[in-house]
Amino acid sequence: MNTVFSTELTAAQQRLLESLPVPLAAVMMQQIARAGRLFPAERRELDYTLQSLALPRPPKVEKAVQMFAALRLSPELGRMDWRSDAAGFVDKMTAELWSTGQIGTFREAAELLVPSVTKAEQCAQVSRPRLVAIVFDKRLSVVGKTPVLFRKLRPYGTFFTHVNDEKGAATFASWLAARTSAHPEPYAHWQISGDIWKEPAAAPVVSLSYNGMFAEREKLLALFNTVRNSAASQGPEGLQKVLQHLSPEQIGMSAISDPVVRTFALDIFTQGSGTQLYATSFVQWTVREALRRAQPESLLAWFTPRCEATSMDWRISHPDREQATDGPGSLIDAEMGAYLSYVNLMRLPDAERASLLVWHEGYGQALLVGTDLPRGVESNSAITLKELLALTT
Amino acid sequence: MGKRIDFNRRAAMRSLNRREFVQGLCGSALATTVSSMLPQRAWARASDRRKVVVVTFGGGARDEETFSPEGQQNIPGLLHELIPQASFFTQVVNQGILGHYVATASLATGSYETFDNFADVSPAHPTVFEYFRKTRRCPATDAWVVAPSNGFNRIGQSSHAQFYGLGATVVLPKRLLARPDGTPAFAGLEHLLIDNYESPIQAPIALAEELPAEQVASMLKLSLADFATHASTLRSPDELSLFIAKRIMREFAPGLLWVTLHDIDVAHSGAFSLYLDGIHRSDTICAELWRTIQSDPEYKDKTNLLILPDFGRDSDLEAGGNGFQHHRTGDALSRTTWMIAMGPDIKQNTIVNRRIESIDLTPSVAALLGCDAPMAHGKLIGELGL
Repeated sequence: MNTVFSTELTAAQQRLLESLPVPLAAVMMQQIARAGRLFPAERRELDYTLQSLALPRPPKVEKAVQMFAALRLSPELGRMDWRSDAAGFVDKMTAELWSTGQIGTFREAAELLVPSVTKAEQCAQVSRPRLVAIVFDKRLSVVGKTPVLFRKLRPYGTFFTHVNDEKGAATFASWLAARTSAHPEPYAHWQISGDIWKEPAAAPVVSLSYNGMFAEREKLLALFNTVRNSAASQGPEGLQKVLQHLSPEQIGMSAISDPVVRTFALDIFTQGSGTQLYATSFVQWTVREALRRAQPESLLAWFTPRCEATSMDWRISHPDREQATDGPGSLIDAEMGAYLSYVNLMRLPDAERASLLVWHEGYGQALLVGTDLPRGVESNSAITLKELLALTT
Repeated sequence: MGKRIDFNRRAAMRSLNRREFVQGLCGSALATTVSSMLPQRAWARASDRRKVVVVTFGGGARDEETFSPEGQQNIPGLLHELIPQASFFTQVVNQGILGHYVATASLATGSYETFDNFADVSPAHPTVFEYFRKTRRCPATDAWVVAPSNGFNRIGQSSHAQFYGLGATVVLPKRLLARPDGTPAFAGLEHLLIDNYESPIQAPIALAEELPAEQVASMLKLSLADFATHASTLRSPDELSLFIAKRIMREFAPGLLWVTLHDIDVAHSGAFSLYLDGIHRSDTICAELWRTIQSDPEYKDKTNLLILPDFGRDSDLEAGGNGFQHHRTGDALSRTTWMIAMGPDIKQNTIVNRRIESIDLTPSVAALLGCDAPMAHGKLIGELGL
């Protein structure tokens, strides 16, 4: 067969893809095409998946392959060349799987592949237990009496009622710097903020912020508007195609020097929903994606107030208008964001050694989930942030 | 087979949870569990006078934010005002495509429609509006749809040749406040023109098929300026829909009114608090609609109200999703939801645990109105007394 791949494949990869059912081959091709923009953890997962797909396969993987093979695609899709445009093919295939009621089989088959990957990752060296620290900015507040925070997380950790630190930002900066210098691996340490980082983090900390990318977000919104108003606009699917071929530089993201992080930042805005409009959505989604894709050792996330309810249309038509913030709403968003971050952290390899700290810098309430900490317990003793962080190491 | 059993198990677990929540709230001694078909009623006479109002939530709300102990504070109207007077179906499963237009169209046709959710197309199967109008030989003003998004403009009329011209009158309330190109016609009302929460842009729409705003306003005896003034006091597109729905009830008292709410779908923006606000508003609107029905002699004691989300939202624990934000995984939680049914023909304070499908709605609504829905694939819901 004369095949044309848009990405340079090794002969072994090419043979492997040709041996797989088309739905799976297209998905794997899409992953391989992105290989140059993946984090090391993602590369390891991809390599392991490709290895496990080679014959002879583990029983679970073989079952997954058989399930992918059982999917029935339309002749129209069969005529499309998944090799030259894997992303476009997968998009169309997904829509077809939904409309033909086969999406459940696809999902189950994909899930069968995941445990093998996780096992591989568990074998990989995790030098230090992971720690995710989440701060709720003091502007995330309600009028009136002090709210009771972290209800969803309390069953998993210890709740501290008096954790004060006038210089919380400095404390966390020192903590992150110490962890980074102890193990200065690329992409292993992150800081994510809904505002802007006043002090640039020392390399190799990956540093992203919502307000720090204001200009890039505005350019992206302008692009949405251009696509919408273009005569050839094909609605959401047309936009999707445009976004698939968008480069970070086209929305002015060249300030991020690392090409992998640059593409990651673009993905946050083009694949995340609401990340272009709300600081809270940006932080939650970026934490999720950083955990899922980079699997960092340390992650510091700072939830700051989002603007009041708005719409893409309003933002596009009023690019320079500053909006009022919604402190109480942002607090609710951040509470859910912290809970989802915990859920995402627990999905990672070595989760049993991982810790999560959430602290509200205004109310002085904190919750710590850690290996040796009791769950569902409340401590009313005063404790400093530094002491709390020390409990995680 | 194993997959099916697992899905059923998880769906049944959701149902069990809802049942317990509701029983805890209503007082289990009072709630009746219907486990078998009720005897058929003599429909021929009563159904001629019957009216039905259907409310769907475009963008389902999960149990965590509604019927679970921590969620109940968000739905006081449904829990305290409506459910004690209603039959509550704890397990309504949607096996179709989880996009709002295509899913709502499936509810309206009683068949899983398979078109592209963002396409400007009519449902392939006849809608409940067409069955109703054809059987009862009634005008378009007797079947109305109030829909949230431009993308719903074709939901009232299928492409089925046998039902040509028998569709519902569809009102997209926000179109009354917009210019033909969709931009605001009145200042300060942008927040009411949000069209959809799933994509930054909407598919091109053949607005030529739409009733002109002036004509709709004239039918509803509204001046667009007065309408805009009133709209400026409203907080969201769904409140606009409620206003229009009440106006339609007052001016036409249609036999079949279908209102699709959509504020909840702001969840796609990832802002959890806005999603909760949407749930609050939907709850308030449902209670308000029921009160309107009870206070209007044209509707009181002859109207059945059915409320159901089109589907659910993703579970927090589903790795492919992002919790409440989307409905993209196809997991049990995103497919399983509930229904409240109430009115003169429906048992009160009753919990139905049997699994039904969301496409069972149309044949059942048609039957409540004394019609058949012969091309629908859904089944009659016996517990509605059918």
